[in-house]
Amino acid sequence: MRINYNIGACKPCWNGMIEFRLQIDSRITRAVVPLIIKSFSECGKTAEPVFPYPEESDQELMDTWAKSLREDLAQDRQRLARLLNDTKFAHGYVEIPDEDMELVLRALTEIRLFIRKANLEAFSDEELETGEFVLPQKPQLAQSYYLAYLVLAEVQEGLIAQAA
Amino acid sequence: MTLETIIKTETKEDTSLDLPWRVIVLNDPVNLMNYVVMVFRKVLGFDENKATRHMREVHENGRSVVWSGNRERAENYAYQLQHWRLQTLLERDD
Repeated sequence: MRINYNIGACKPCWNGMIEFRLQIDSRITRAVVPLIIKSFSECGKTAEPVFPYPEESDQELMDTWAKSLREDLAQDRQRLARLLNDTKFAHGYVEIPDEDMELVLRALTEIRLFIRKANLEAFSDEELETGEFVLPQKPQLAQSYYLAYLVLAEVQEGLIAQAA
Repeated sequence: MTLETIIKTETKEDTSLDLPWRVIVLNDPVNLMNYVVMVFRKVLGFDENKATRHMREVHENGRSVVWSGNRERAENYAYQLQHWRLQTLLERDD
């Protein structure tokens, strides 16, 4: 028997599922789920793996590297799609099979990287790292994307707590 | 191409494969610190202390050499770290 990470109480889990509730007001989660789904859809189209050799130009190796990473990342995204399509997620509940945890974690990172690049230009790196800024002073849409970014980070925190 | 040239070429290629390579992880403002520690532990087999030390190095210095050795293994680690979406580079360890 495994003890699940949960808010306020540990919940025994017998069925190989990870389940926990986000520590965020579910009204916020409901409000940002459409933005998360939109970002999810867009990042799948634009994600381009980076070749790790800055000075090498072996085109065949570069192509193979990128193709392989794209396939692996697509598989990760598929598992995350299941979570995002789960109606309970919009109400702040996360429920995924144990074996999907690593894939979902990676896909969440990919969306957060995408949101940072595409929708959070109004925030400096330092602001994002320290959280020291006044949210209402940011543009309205950037505020919403920032909350989506936070919700995704919260899901990651919960999953990492499980992994630990 | 003479036999001697072929042998020299092959020897050179083998040697270049054996040159040490460094796997370098770069800082980004997005990834959570505990995520980076978890990835270092999973991919590189670090214990908690070593993983935390390298995570801090990435955070404070902008980069950390997380592994050094032959090219094949370095590539393998770099691939896995990129799959976890950490910014990773490979450099010759001159």
